[in-house]
Amino acid sequence: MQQSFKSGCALLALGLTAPLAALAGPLDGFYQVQSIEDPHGTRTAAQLQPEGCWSREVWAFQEKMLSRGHQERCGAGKNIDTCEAWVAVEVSYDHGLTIPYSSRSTSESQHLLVREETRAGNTHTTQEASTRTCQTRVDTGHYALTIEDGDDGKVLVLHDARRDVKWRLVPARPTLPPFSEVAK
Amino acid sequence: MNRALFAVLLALPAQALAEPPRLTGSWRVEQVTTASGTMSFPAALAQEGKDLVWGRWLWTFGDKELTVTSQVLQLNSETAIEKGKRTLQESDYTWCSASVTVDVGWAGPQLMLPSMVQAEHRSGRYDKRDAEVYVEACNIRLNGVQSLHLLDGGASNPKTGVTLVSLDESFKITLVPDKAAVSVKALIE
Repeated sequence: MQQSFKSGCALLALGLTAPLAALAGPLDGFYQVQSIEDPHGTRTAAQLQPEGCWSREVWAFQEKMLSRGHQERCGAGKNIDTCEAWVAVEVSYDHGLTIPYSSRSTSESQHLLVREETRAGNTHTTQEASTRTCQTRVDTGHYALTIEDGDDGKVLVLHDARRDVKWRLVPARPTLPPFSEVAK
Repeated sequence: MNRALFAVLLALPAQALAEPPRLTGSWRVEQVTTASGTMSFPAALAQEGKDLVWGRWLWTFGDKELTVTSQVLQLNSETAIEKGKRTLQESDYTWCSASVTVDVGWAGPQLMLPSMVQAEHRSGRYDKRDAEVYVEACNIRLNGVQSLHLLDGGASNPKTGVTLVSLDESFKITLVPDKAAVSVKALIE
């Protein structure tokens, strides 16, 4: 009976701690954003995608480095482009994650096809251009780290209490999925 | 008392009241020296297997921010077809620009910046067979530099530019004034 009571207490304790377990860090691995929760509401990964695009927000941890990335594939048919922007910062772990300074990155690519047609001495020029712009950023601050049990497994939660923002991250493949899977 | 203070201020040399030297606006990187050697621009931006039409690294100083940018324009292919009196020429270009913005501070001629300034851009295009046709990448990386000293108080000459050097002199960068905006169309023409 006593044993059963102890087991019950242990189960109760597990039940209380399993949904939210604090992490000390350091973190390691490749994650992508499942949702972002801030005072304006909650946005899921699908809601964060630009129209007509597949995209994901990445947090990659390796030793003291944090890389933040935005990856997207946009377009249709033959004209499909991929665009990635990355920024890296050195971070520290002290009862959570500390990002010492803010950093933001903007990147742009443009593909241009210039056609010059000369007929009877007259030259006619046409240009085709497609442009993609990607952005990513990290914001300085202290982020509490916890693990939550989600529907599809463990979810890493980064909570910036000062800005009242929660990032829910799930483990992800570092490589982009095959193009045929993400084309819209 | 106020008159006395005013008199003292008037007596101070103009230089003592001048703003401490600091850089503002956009500057193009002309040369960088690290432990690995010296890179001269734009030659350092030329990538293997592609023709560099134009390229630069840019440092743009805001009030409390520094934006470091890498920009390249490459010519991928040129095709010319002649049919009688008709000539068709196709030129395929890619433009790539990646920038990172970080908070910085000035203490006199000393520029304080984060120990890491790093940004990367990758871009590609795919054909019907899910094969990558091309990928262009721009990268900028400045690691381990936390403090740079502006030599000669930033006395700038558009021809010679200004030089920032780390305290241990392991990193040295020469900048010349430039404009931030650029037209890709104008570069091709």
